[in-house]
Amino acid sequence: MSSRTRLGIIGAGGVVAGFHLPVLAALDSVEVRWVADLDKRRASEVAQRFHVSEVVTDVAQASDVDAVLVATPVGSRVSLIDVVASRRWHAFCEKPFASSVADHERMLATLKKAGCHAGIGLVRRFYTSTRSARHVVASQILGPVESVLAGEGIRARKFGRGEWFQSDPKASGGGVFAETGTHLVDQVFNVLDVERADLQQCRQERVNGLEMDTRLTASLLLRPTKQAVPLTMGVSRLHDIYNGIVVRCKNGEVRLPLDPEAAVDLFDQHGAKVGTFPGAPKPGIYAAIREEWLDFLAGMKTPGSADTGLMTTRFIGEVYARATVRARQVEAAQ
Amino acid sequence: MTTNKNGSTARGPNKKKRVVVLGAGGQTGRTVLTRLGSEPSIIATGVCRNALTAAPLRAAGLDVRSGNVLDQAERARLIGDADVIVNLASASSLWGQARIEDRGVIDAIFDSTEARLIHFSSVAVYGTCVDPSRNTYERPRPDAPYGRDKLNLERYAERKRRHAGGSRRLVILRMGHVYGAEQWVSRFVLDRVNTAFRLPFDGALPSNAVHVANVAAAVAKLVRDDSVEGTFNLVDPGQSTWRQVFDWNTKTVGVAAVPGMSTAMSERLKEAFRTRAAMPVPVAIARDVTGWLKSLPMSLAGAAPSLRDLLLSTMSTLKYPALEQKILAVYGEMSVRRMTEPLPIKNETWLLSEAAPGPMVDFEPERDMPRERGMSAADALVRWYRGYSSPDSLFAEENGATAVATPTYS
Repeated sequence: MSSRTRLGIIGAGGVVAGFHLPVLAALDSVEVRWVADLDKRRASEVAQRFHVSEVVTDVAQASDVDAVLVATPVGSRVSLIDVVASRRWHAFCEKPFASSVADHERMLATLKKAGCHAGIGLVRRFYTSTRSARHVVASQILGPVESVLAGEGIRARKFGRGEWFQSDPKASGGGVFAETGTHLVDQVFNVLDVERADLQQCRQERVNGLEMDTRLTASLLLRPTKQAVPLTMGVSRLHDIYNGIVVRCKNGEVRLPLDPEAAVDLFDQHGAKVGTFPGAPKPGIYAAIREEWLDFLAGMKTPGSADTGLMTTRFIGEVYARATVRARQVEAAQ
Repeated sequence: MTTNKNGSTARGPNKKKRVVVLGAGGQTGRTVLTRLGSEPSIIATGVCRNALTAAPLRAAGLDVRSGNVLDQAERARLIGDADVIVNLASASSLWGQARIEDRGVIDAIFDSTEARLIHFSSVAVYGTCVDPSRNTYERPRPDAPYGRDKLNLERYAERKRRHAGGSRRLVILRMGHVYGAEQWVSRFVLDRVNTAFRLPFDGALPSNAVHVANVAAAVAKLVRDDSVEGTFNLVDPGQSTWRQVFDWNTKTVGVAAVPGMSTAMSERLKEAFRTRAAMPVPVAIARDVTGWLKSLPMSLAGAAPSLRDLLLSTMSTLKYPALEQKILAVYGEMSVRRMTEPLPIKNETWLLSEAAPGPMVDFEPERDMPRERGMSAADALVRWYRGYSSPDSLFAEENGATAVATPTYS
């Protein structure tokens, strides 16, 4: 019997073909057995590109594996996880894990009951830059944290041809804050080692029900120091906004760009740069994805041990529930 | 009144013109669409590929259709009623696929409508570093894939026009380097403030740049004037210098000016870039391959430990110190050459261009117009710059910053 972990891929979209499969194809410890997608043509194209022999449209009919990558839109996850758990497959889910806390907890409970490990593709946890920033903050070399600002987004320009799940509020979890902001929220929580996050103010802009811009303030309780610090955050597809995380400390500032290859810079109180922690060598994203897969594969030995970002899901849910919304309902132009 | 291919009727001379902007979701599309919509004689509609790209335009109150113009079933809805089509679209696929898609858009316009076409190309057709001694308006010689693709598409559009007979009207605009809010040139300029970057010739060279408001103004003029046909360069009237472009950006947002580069270094750069741009492709390839081959012995020794060990053992056996010294000297020189950047600018060859040759679009510039149609160009630049450069603007209200909430934990 092969000692390699047998994997199935559920969802043949861009993130699978562009990121996960190139990494998995280079991992000697895994063997991708099949690719599943409702769109058989798309699944076949991806399978052919990566020399995967089996293609399915119904996951329930797929041959047995040890674990699956669940890379379908977040709005479709719950029923899929029921199938995955019934087959006793460990599940590595692309972010966001679930659309709501209720779904998140239900999915975890289903997998736990089946003895299956759950992992989450919050890849920024594995960025060199995230780790560097976390160490700097934990060490308090710039003094205690006083505030955090975090932003991500540019005006939506080129998103390829045709509609896709990110245009659908239900499939995308609500909009850009759920779909893309998940990464930023989790990264902030990770860098600061946040124990609890309380939303204070929030406003959103939605177009035809799809959230395109979120701005918020919150209070973060930091686990190591039990200190409360304010957070200001923005995620947008309507405007070009600041992209990065800024941790303001008593004696200076840590600036963390969002690119995995970018450096983390330290500034003193006068704005002079006093240090740099290099980012990952190119291509940084693949190195991080590789690490997250190795982490998941190792975690399969102790199912339920991974942090699947429940606090992130809770925070995002609260944002959508409590935001002051400016909505524009636009009829298609005639 | 005439009837279009899809059965819709064109408007008579006193009726409003329906102008459809393809690629409305792109860099310049929103400004063009907004400007056209302010014209009393124009009904302006944008076309975006999908709802996501259309959303920011819809949020701004613009009229947008979303869909795929390459899909025959969608064409009538998207462009069938157009009197004028402004084609700003540019595929973002990989290279061959992009060429197929870009040509497909041209096909859609000519095969499915009777509309007059204003097609956007680029001054890149004249090369990455415009040298009028070898690059003319009549015979542009692009030296990079982007420029070649743009010229290729121009010629394709011309062929379609000729094939369609004399009734189809075509304007090709070779757009210069666009600056203004949300534009790459302004981002380039502002990212170089307080860095080691120096502006060649202190910015005295013609920029071939065009403010996005001027792009929109030119399009509006061309839409109003049906008689204009042909291929034109689209740059700021009078041809702004780089110093003027750089200073407009830095002064508007209130940051330090970008210093100039010495004339000696500027001349050296210009010579290097012009030579490279003029080099035939086979010669350029031969030169690069030769350089790589020269680096092989040392890089191979470094990359293959067993070979390196063999080399060291061989040198010990030979007992030839003079040769050892020679190898060390060559290795040292190669290491230094690899580390040293001989030129302070590697890719921004367009900063050392001459003016694009040929006729320019004649229009009234609108960059510095007072605030009549919404935000002024200067205000838009400041707002955009603050938005992307300052984390403190993340929760700022339009007229001031909202205070960050105080912690709630005791």
